[in-house]
Amino acid sequence: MSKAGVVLCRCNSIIDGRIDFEQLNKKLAADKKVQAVIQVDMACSPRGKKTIRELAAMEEVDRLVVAACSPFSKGAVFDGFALEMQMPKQLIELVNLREHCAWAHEIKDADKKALTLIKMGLKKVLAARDLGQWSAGCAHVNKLKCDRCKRCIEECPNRAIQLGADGYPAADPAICQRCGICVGGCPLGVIALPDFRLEEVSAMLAPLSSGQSPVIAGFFCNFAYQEADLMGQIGRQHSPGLHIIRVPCTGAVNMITVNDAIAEGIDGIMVVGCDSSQCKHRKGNELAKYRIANCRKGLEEQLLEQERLVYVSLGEGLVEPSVINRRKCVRCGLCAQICPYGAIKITDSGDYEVNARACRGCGACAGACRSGAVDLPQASGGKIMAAIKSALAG
Amino acid sequence: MPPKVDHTKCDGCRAEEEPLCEQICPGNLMTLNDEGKAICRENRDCWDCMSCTKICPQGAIETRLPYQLGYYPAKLIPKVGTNKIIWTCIDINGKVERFVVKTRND
Repeated sequence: MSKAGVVLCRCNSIIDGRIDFEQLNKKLAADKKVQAVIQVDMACSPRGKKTIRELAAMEEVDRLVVAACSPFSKGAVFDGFALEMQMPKQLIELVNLREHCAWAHEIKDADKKALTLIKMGLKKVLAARDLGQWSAGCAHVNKLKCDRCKRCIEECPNRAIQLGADGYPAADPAICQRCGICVGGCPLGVIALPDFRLEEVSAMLAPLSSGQSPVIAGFFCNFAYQEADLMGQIGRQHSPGLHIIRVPCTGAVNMITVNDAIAEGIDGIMVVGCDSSQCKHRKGNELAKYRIANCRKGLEEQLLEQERLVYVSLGEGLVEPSVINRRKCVRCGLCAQICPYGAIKITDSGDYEVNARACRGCGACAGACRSGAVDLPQASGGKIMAAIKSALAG
Repeated sequence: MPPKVDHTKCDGCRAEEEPLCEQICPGNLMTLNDEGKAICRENRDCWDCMSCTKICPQGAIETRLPYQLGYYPAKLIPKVGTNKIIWTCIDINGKVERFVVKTRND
């Protein structure tokens, strides 16, 4: 049976200044599934890596939970560790103790919340199993359970899923963006992303019910998760009952997971994502809203309150649209072809124009333009060069 | 008692050849009507296994309880999770009970 090792990162006394690590250590060591608990000063430093490597070399430990900072701050470092240790990166789970616990809660709530968060990570990492999705590197359909309803083919925003020769849908790794919209739409829940499987997510929900009431499971899309990190960084507090689970897009939240959450006795479910028409995956949030509206009707039938399941959108404000320099433009039309949102159109005079409302500032047009006529104000060539210079200087 | 399909919710699984309820029904009773909505073709042959009710992704199918079990307001609603089902039982007086049953779909 596989057992997990837990790494507690002090983050130069930032985290352990607010969370009692000794008590956490004692409580985690009592867990049967935990083989060893170690504390390190900086898990992302070379010395931290050495300690983690020693822990991973222990005989019974084949998966790790690293309780440190946000995956958006140092996640890539731990992916690198996994690569060096020749371990699938799905077996290292990063628990965000810094932004979502130490900085976001009062000291008295933080200890308990930290334990719950680490237990959620443990559950996820212990449920991690390769059904073929790890090697595929994109959305993977479990053909043993799939019943060929073809919803995923219809809903995929990138048309990455096509019907294979064997009659089952299969995703093209070259096109798939790993947004998880197919995962959320699958009525049988048989699609998995390399790091996102419904069984793992529902396993994460089990330790929540011991949290402080009202217990809320928050499914935050990557964008909203970063915003939550930011709130932690500036010291804004949120309710200790809110447990943030990262999903690639709000469209990846399957209503099966919601049923699981209700069955676990969780009081409320929040799905947090972008404002309408702002979704980077084009229609993930619209699909999520549609599914949530359906599920809320189901909740009412069960005589549960509809308010238990809500969609919350964060207003992103307006993104600065890309600008076409008429003098440089040779009117090749490549930008209009490449724009994923159909924001660039040809006018009667033969010029190309950006529809500021439709543009979401992805920069695909700026990258593709061969004459350098398209520029994105928030990430112009000059700004990027300046950033590179400062990075090299540091 | 036969399954009752809410035709406003049913989308016939997007007019596929075989909707999920048709595939799952052990008696092969479910089918699509001319409008592409699910119907039960032989009501009296249904033995209330509730497979179609559980599988429907739209939650459009309700299994009517036989009168021996409960008259009209009584309901039995399953909601399926990954490895558990929540059964909501509403009796004829409107009393609600919930049961969470583990399944073996891990």
